[in-house]
Amino acid sequence: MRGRTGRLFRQGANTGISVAALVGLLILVNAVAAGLNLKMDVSSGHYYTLSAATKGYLKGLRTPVKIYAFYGPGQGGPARMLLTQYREFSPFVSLRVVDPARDPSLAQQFGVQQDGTIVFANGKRRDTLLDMGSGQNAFNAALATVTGPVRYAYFLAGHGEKSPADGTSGGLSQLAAALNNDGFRVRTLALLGGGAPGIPADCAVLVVADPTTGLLPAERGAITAYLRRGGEAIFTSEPGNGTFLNPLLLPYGVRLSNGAVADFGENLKGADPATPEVTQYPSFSLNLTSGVPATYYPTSAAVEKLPGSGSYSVEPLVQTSANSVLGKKKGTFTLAAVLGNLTGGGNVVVFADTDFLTNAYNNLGNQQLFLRTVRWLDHSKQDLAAMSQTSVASAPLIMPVAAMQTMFYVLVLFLPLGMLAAGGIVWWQRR
Amino acid sequence: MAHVVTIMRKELYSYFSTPMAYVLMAAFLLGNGWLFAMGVFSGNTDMPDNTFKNIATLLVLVCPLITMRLLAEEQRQGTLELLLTSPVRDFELVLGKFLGSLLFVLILLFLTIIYFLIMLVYGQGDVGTILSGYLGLVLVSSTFVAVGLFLSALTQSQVVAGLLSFVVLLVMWGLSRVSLAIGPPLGLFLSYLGLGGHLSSMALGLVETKDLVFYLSVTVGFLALTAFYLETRRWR
Repeated sequence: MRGRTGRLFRQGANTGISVAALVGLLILVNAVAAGLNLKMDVSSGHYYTLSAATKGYLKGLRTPVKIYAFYGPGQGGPARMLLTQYREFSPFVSLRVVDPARDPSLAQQFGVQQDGTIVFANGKRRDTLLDMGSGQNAFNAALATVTGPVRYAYFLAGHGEKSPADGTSGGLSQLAAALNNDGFRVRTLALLGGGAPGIPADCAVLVVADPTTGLLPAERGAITAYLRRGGEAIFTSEPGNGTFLNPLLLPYGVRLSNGAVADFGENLKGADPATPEVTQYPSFSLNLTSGVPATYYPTSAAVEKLPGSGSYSVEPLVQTSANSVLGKKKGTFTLAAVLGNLTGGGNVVVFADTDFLTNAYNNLGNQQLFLRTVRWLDHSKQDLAAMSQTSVASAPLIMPVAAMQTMFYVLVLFLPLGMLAAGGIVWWQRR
Repeated sequence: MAHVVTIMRKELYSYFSTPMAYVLMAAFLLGNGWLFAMGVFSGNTDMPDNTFKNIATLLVLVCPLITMRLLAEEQRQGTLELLLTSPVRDFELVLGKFLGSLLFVLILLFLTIIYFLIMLVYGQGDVGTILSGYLGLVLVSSTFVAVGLFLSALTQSQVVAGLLSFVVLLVMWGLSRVSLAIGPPLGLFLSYLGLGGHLSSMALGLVETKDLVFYLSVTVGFLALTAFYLETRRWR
């Protein structure tokens, strides 16, 4: 009896030791594999491979950046995986994936309106973007926005312009707050405040938001000189007020129309055609507008190209649908354009509308378009955004209705039934 | 090796000799076809990723049905003792049973290629990501079969083996999700142990050594445990 017990004990001990050794070996192998962290990116365009420039930037990052990715369960796989690469590469980047339905307070805190919103936060500095398949370009720009040096945006004052300090529905206080979160300090600028008028040297972007009286020649001269030395500016207007900005626009070969555009093709649902809605942007502006949700423009004029325009480039940034009307003219109208040399400094972005930026209409899309424009003009951030252009297709699978019906019948009916029929035949033969 | 191939063939043949395999394949195709069609109808933008995850989730249900009879039935019929006393080694028996079941699961996976062909025709997904996703599915399948085989060795009842496999796979599959609620460091540890999380990267086109090693480790681990368990029957 003792012999059998002893043998059982020895055999059991041998097996136990073997199992323990196996488990230990497997744990060791897993630890080594996790430590090595070798990866092979076989996705289209190597979407998950951080570019050399991105790695360089992340290596130099010394400020903690928290990334909040708001996705429902099972959503946003590609963007989440790419952001994971950022987190794994830099100890200063942290990533938190949040289900807005399970954590509505956090979603509310960041003003999240829909799934796929990604917030980059460095203290109070934040940048929000919508995942629309954009990759490292959008993420790098957002990182630069929340970690880069503080820049100054000057809003011109003294001609009835909309004010960044105005908290009423017609003011720009929300836009100013968004600029502040974006790394820009907002200041107002009165050019005739004493001494020779001039734009401060630390001005990253000059904003002239819908002047309702004309600028004096000295003021126009100061702005022109600022642009000639490579300064960047945004001009916005309203129908009927374009005449006060047109003297500054004429050298670029454009002017603002007097009347308002009516878009019968794309307009804000429930509103009238006088509020064009834009969901697709011209190809030129794709880098600038990548990830920007829909924008809309209540009572907007149009940017019109003059015949025989000068040596500057004029690129449409926002356009109406082809089913639009301005006075007696029909077709596509430009609501915003980029004017200048485009690659170097001295560029102007002109918006034929200002209401879309006011507190009353300052939705996520309108605000994002303006912030992206400011960033695009501010070359220190533009360079980083251009580091990588990889993106991933995020469009739904679009099939013709007939093909969709055929697919449904084949996948849900014919294939399973065919398999059941095969089983029936086997059963019949073996019966 | 000849023994392994013989057992593997016998297992695979036994699946197709009854209508059960066809019913299983029909149910698998119906479930996946329905989920795929609903994804297309709802305008899902992550079709390749979601389709891989749907297939794997359905495998959690299907694999226990495939593996439950592997060793439990041999024990119930008393044929396991014959096998163990024959010149077949324990690991050959385990490997043969494992490969026979795995081949059947691979046939199931082969049937799902149609979804990805539809995606490619209509401009979604890319070949690299699809191949990477299938690599993930093959590894997940081998893990599921290995776990199911081990649990089938523990009991004489197919039903108990099937239910046990389903529960264990469900828990292992869902660990990654549970870990989100727990938070680090325990959450990170559980997330690593979760079978579902390791498929995510491959379903998106990113093949990572840690995922490959993890799936292979779990597979090898459970196969070895099965072989050890069978060995104990010789001297218990």
